[in-house]
Amino acid sequence: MLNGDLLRDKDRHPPSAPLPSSEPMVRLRFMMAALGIVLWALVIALRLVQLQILEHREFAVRAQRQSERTVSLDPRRGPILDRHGRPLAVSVEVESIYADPQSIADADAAAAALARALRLHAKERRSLGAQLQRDRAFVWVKRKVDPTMARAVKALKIHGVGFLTETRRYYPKRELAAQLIGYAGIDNTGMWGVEYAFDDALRGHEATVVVRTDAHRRPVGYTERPSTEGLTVVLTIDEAIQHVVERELDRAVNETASLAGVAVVLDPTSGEILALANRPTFNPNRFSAYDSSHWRNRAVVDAFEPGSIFKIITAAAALDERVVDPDEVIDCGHGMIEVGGQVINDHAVFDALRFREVIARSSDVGAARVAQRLGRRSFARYIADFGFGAPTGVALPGESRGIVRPPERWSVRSLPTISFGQEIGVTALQMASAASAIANGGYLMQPLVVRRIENRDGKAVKTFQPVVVRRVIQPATADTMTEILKGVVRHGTGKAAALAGYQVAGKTGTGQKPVASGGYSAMDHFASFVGYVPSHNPAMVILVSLDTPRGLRNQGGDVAAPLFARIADQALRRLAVPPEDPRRVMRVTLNDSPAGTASSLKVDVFTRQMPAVVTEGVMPDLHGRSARDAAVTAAKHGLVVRLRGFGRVSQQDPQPGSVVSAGDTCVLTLDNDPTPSDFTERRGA
Amino acid sequence: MARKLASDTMLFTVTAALIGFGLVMVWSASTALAEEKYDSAHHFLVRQLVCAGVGLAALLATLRFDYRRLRGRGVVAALLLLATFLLILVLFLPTVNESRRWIRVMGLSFQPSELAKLAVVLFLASHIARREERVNELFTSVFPAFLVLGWFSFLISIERDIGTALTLAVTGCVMLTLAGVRLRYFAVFGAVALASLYQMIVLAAYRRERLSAFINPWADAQGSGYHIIQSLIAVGTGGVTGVGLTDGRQKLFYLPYAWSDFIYAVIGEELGLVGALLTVGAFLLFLWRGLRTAFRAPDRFGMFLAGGLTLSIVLQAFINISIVLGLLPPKGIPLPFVSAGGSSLVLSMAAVGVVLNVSQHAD
Repeated sequence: MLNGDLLRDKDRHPPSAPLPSSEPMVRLRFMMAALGIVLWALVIALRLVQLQILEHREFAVRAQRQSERTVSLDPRRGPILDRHGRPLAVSVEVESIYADPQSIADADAAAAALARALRLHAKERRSLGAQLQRDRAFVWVKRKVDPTMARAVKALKIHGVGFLTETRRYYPKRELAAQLIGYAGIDNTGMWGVEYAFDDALRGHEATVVVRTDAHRRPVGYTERPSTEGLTVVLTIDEAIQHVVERELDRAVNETASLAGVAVVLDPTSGEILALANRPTFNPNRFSAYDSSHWRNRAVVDAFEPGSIFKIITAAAALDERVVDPDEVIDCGHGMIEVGGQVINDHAVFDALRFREVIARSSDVGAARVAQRLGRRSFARYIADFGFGAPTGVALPGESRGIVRPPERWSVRSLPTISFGQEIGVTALQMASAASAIANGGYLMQPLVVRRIENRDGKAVKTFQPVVVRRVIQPATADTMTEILKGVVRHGTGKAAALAGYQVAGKTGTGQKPVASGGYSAMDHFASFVGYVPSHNPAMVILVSLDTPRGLRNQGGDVAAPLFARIADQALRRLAVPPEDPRRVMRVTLNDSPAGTASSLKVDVFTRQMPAVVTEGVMPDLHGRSARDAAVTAAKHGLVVRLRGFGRVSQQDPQPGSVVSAGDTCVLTLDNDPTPSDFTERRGA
Repeated sequence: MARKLASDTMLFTVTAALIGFGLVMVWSASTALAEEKYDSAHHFLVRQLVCAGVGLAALLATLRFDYRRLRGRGVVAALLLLATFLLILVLFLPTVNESRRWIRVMGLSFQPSELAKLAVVLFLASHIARREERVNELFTSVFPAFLVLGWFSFLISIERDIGTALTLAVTGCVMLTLAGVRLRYFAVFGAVALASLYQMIVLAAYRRERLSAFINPWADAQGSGYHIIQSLIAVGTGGVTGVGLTDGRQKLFYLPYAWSDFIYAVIGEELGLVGALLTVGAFLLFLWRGLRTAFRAPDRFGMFLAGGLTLSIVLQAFINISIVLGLLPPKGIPLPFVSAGGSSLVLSMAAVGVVLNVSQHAD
């Protein structure tokens, strides 16, 4: 208060030192200084705009790069199972070795020690040494190492070397269906086969953890996106049948010294691929050790000239168009036919054959004559309808559409030569699929390789239902074809395909290999057989083809037909298909595997000692009994047992108490229908 | 009381706003370090609050008496001698952070260079007012002024506090220019200053590195360029609106002295262009009110005292901001009112008290 008054008093006095005359100059200089500072502020503002607006993005990225570390954790890749839930491709945990070069004291010594423990080559060792010198917080030393190597590295106890658990693809059945299943690479990405085609489903989503760190690299927080595991892919493949096919194809290729071979087993009613094998083959666990030609799924990727097996298409088309009758006599022109000034020679001299014999004996001239009646437009339409010249749409990579020229680009020779399977390229799968259309009464089915995709709990995420592409021929035509094709096996070129107890319908083929100079090789050919069994209500269509078999007897009927028979014989037992021949029974015996499952049954077909005691008996009550128990009991009564489904008997035909005699068929319906969802529980076992 | 002349309320308000803002930013910038070093997230905040209290007391104290009493030769000489004594004393105390800037007494630290700054400004204002028309007389006016300025710049620079020494030298030269001292005299002073600066930079490897890092920080991003780069990253990351208060990451030991010398980088990161420009704007407002006070001062002493103190604060602020933005080579000086640091805050507030004091006497 007092002070304030004092100040005011002083203020009233004129200033003690009057402002000097330089005052305006001083004020001006003050203003200049202020202006200078305002300009400085403007520079600062411009610099802020530059840093915070124009270069904001770069700086933000820089900040992120130095303060965030993203750790990606691979999801576990889903397994691939066969139709009964048996694992064909699984993911197993393995250890990967990484290093933090910044915390390794002596990079050279560490590289040397690691190289010794991991048995690296000099080159790998040098690159490891270079990696360890890098100014990084993380480098891979070696991914997915053997447990023994991991132990060796752990024993070294090098500071700055760590381990991460990753998963690695493992194929427990090795070469089994290798080309179909394909393989996944080191980063668990599907590279071929089902692994590739269904990669999106199998892969799952990787987990990412973004860790924020301070300048001392200490984590201060993180955000996490969890992984989702890959889905399970259940194939249509039956491992048991696939195993048979692999073994028999192997044997046939080795015995005939063939360059290559394929075998396809289809379920004609659903189009499902039960087995598909290729030779040469590879072990997908070490896929990189093989030439890429071993990876090739020849049955789907390669087109070949089918030769005489293609006559089933010619015959089916001619019969469906009613241009020929099975018993009509065809002039086979003494083994030759002249087309457009050129002569086609048959493989044998036939004079006149009934049409069914044209097929049974595989007369090229006969087939050509019938095709000429059909005409090129009509024949071309049937070829297209049977699915040739277009991909089948099977969910496998690299499928070939085959080589089919449109009829307007056919030469005069084309119609007759295509009729016996030359001048046309087909895949084994196309051929098997076309044969299926004859086997199932006329429907072309899309080949299926995957039954369903399910999550980890076994719930189906997606189910693949059979797809009818189109009706190709009338049911009556199909029946006639079956009769004709039975003749091929009974007394024609395909006798070696015959089976005891079942009637086989099929066709042999010996397709000459085109040579680079034009024309056909006299020596080299594809020996093929396509057929189905049982002829009535077929359980399977099998196509086998051997590329360039050697030996004196190397025709389709000589090498491919027996291969067909060996595969069919074992596959029918695996599927427990009852024999058609009433004199033969199916004997069901037990394996020591868990009770009540079809796979624990050993099915055998043998000829009953006829005319053994025809025991007239009374049908026992089999309700509620386990499948094996019921089957054994029925077999003891001399009954032909036909099982449907899994589990326990819910229905039986004949009914209990009815009079039965040995050789009668007994149909047992089990309480679990073989619908997709029923396989899940069994996989747990 | 009603008759008491009002001091400049806007000047007081902008000062208080900057200090309050500084408290928030110091708290945001220092929690990580405080937790790690002192087990309390609020360590620096509490200290800064205490210093703000002391500073307020100093402000009110310097506001209370007639500023013209400061003009007396005895007061000026006493302050210069005290500052000299403390600056020499500090040379014999243990080093802190490789420099001898602080006197520590009972847990409190004091930076004599801050006092020296005030003392020199006071001396120059008094000297200029006394010499009036005769400021260009070489031996009686110019020489003593440069002698004092050079002496203190020298003392402060041998404490390894080049930033404060340069700020003082620049402030002093600006004041003398405003007084009308001919430019050729500065040439001599400048030559001496540059020669000694060159000597120091060449002799001290770390300064040479800092200087080359300023010219191209990216050449050695992990080494000498690290501090500048981290500062630019912080500011650049902020963008227009910033990443949000307390959400900055650069303060997590990426930035050097995030809570003191580089607090402006934290402002830029967390509050973006908006916060950074508002801070600059606040200092411009402070400049305007301070120079307005100087213009309205009843005498030359008041004019140069208010002007000199205002300029010393605003120049220091802009030098600090320019360093953070990579426009000037890095030197350790605080951002007045905002940075954590007791001596700077208390003595800056005392200076504001003096300016407010002058504003009470406006014509």
